[in-house]
Amino acid sequence: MNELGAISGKVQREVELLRELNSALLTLEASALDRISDFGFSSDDVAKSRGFLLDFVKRLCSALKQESPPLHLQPIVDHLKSGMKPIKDWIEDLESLAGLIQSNNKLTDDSLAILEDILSLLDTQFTDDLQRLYAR
Amino acid sequence: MKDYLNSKAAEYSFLLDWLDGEIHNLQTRNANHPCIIRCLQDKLRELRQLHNRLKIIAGLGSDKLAPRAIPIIHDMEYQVLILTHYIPGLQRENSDDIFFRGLVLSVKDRCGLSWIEDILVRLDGHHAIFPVMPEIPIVFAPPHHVVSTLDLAAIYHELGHDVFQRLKEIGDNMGAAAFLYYFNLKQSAGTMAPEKRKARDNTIRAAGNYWNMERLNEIFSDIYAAYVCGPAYYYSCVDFVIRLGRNPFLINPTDVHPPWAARVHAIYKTISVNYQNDGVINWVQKIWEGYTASQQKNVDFEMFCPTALMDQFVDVANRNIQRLLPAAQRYSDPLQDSPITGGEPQDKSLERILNNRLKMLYTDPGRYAEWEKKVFDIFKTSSRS
Repeated sequence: MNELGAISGKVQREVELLRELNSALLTLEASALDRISDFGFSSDDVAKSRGFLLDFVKRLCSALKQESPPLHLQPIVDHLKSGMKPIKDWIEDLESLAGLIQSNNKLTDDSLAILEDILSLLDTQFTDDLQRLYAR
Repeated sequence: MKDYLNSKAAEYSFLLDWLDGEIHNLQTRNANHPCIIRCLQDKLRELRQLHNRLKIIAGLGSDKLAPRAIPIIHDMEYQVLILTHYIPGLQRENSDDIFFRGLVLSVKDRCGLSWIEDILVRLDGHHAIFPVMPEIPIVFAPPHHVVSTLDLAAIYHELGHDVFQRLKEIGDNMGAAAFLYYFNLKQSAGTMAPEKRKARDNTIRAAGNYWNMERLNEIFSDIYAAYVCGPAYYYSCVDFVIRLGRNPFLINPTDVHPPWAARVHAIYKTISVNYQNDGVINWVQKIWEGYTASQQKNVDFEMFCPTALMDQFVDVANRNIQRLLPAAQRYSDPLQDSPITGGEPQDKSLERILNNRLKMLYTDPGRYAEWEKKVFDIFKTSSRS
C-alpha cells in the first residue's frame, strides 16, 4: 500500500479546478484586451467564463464563512485563514467581486488581482502535490 | 518570459508528436484495451488544446496574459505524467498482467464499480492504484500474485481509492464527520483557565487538520475493502503490520496513511457486524491485541485517532457505500473450512477464496501450499474460459 492512490486523487481534483479557473481568467483577460479571436473564444465562452467565476467566487466566499468547508476547497480556505489578510477582508473582497461579475461590468485590475492571487495559491498547492507524485 | 514560453511551446510540440506516435503504435499493436487507448487519445487532445493556448499566449507577447501560461505548463506536465504512466504499462504488458487484470475485473460488479471499463495492470511494484481516470485505473501489484494470494486482499483497498475518486461527495461527508467530532470536542471543555483552553484548542485544531483529504481517502479505502472483502482484508492488514514490524500507534505527519491501530480498528468495526463471535476473527483479534500491547503508544494517538471518531468514519463510510454504491455486496458469508478437498470451490469469487484462505490458515496451515496451487489452477482455468 503506498501513497499513489491518495496523492494522485488529490492532484487530479486540484488540476480540474485550476484548469477551469485559469481558463476562465484567460478568457476574460483576453476579452478585456480584445484578443478573444486570437484564442478562438466566442462571446458565449466569455459569458460562460463569467458564470464560472461567479459560481467559484460565491462557493469560496461561502466556504470561508462555514466552519466545515467542502474538502476540495479546504486547502485554499486554510491558506487564506492562515495568511496576514483578515478573513473578513477576504469575504468583503469576494462579495464585491461577485457583485461586479454579476453586473456584467468590465473587471477592474484590482478585481482581477484577487482572482490571480487565489489562482496562484491553487497553482502552488497543485505543483507541491505534483512534486510528491514525481517523488514516489 | 516570452522567450521561455516560446521554448516550452517548441519542446512540447516535439513531445506531443512522440506521444501521438506511441499511442498510435499501441492502437495498432495492442487489441486488448480499446477503451484505454480511446481515453489516452482524448487526453492527448486535451494536451494539444493546452499546447495551442500556450503557443498563442507566447505569440501575443502580452505581459498581461503571460501569467496564464504558467498554470497551463504545470497542467501539461501533469497530463504528460499521466500518459507516461499508461504508455509503458501498455507496451510492456505481458500474459501475467493480463491474467491479473482478469482477476481484478472479475470483482468489479460485486464491488459496485459499474463505471470501470478497463484496468491496466502492472505487476512490477507494491500495491497501488493510479485512479485519476477512475474508469480505467492502473493497478500496481507485486509479481508474486501470479502464484500467490498473499496480501491479495489489499487490491480491494486500492479499488477503494477509485471509489473515493469517482464519488467526490464521500470525501466531503467524511470530512464533515471529522469536523463535527472536533467541533463538539472543543465545545465540551467546560470551565478552564484561558491558557489551558488555548493549548487545548490548538491541539484539537491540529488533530482536526490531520484528517485531510489524503488520510480520509486512506481510511475510507480501508472501510470499503473491509465492507466488500470481509475478514480476509482484516487478517491481511494485521499480518502486514506484524511482519513488517510497524508501530501501529505512530502518527507520522508526512505519511498519508493514518496509524495502523486506527485503521485496524475501523476495519474490525466494519466486519464485526457479521463476525462478532467467529473463532477465526477472535484468533486474529488476539494476535492483534498481543502485538499492540507490545508497542509503545504515541501520546497524540488518542487525540488524533480516537475510537469514537473512527466509529463515526465507519458509520459515514458504510452509509455512503450503501447509498452511492447500492450494487456493492457486503461480504457476510460464514467463514468455511477450505473447500478444496479434491473438487473446486463452491464459489469461485475472489472474496470467497480469500476468506476460505484465512479459515484454512487458521485450521490447517500445513495444507497451504497445496491449496494455493489449486486456487491458481482454478483462476487460470477460469481466465481461459
